[in-house]
Amino acid sequence: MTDEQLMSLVKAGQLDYLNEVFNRYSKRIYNYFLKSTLERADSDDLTQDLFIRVMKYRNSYKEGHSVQFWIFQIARNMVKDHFRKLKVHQDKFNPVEVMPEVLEENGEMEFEREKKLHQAMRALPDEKRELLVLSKFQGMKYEQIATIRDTSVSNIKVQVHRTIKELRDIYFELAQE
Amino acid sequence: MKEEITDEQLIALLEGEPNKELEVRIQKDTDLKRRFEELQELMHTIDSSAEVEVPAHVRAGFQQALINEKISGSNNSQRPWMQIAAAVALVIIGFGMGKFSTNDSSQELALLKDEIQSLRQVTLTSRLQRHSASERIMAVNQIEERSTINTELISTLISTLNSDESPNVRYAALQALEKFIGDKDVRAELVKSLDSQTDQLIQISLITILVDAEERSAIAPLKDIIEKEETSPEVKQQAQVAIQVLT
Repeated sequence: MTDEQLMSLVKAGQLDYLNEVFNRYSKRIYNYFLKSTLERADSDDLTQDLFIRVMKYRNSYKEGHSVQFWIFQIARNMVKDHFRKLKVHQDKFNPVEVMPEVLEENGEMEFEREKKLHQAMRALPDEKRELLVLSKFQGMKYEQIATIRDTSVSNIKVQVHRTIKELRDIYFELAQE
Repeated sequence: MKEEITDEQLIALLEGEPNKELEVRIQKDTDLKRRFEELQELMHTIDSSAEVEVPAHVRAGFQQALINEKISGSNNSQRPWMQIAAAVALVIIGFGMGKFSTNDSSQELALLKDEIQSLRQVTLTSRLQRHSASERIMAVNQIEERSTINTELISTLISTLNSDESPNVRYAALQALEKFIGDKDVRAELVKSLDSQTDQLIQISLITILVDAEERSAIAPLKDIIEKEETSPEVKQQAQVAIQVLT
């Protein structure tokens, strides 16, 4: 059954199918929030709230339209609201908090590199970090991101490349500290 | 003079855009190679960044919200609301009567508290008699979480254990009753229940609970279970072990 068929059933009142929507999307959404906010507790709340919104606003889903697109639109708006409400979010960051527990066992160098990556991502503006999360961590094509952000593919490509350059500069500056 | 290579071109190459000429230049130019390798390390770190699993409490929170949504949806068209509204009216009337009959405010407060307890009990009992299995499980869990529980609620749990059509609800009722295993009446009811249970999971759980409580009066019904043809081999084996422990 496709995602779109599932959501049509949910919209028709068969709420149990939301469990399957949760199974298919929760990990992607959780990691999207985690990499965007770099806060584990906030990502827990945001993920739970997102699926509650999907349930509450199920009637706003337009049948036949991409569920992935619809869910990520909701998620993006939630992240924007989150940063709007958050006055201070730079001072208590611990990069290890947003990394999987098993990573440390995979080798010290990999662990340190990923720690540095999250520190560098933290230094990026929220909008740029989100772009990087969608393109590189969520593996979305530039065409898909362009649809979500309502802009051209070439514009997205330029922005992603600029963001990678900026990230590279911060990442290697941190390496020299 | 050779054209200057931009970072964008290097990133495009790393993203899979073919560019043979650039690959050759990277091999020959030390500075270009260093820039390429820096970007390569960054991209590799991004690519190998592992995903974090969704914590169990996030799923549990969503599922609870889903159950609540289903209850509120079904309640809109069913009679229990009227029952609850009637109970609320009773509380208000009871409170008003209490106010007229006495001037002692602590008595009024106690009366109100009792009425609220009764209201909650009516609501929980009503939910156990109607609604879907998942809603009945939630009602059982709410009874279990209460700090105080009276004989009427214990009777409701026992009746649920013995007669609910869903094995999942019966199992939840058994788990809730396990908290009151210190009460001899509860133990006696659980021993009686051995005879009526047919679900393997519930039978084995019930036997385990009674063995842990060292309830020797369970020996006779356990022997009956072993003799019953329809009893599964696993349950028979568990019953035999239980008899050995209790004897």
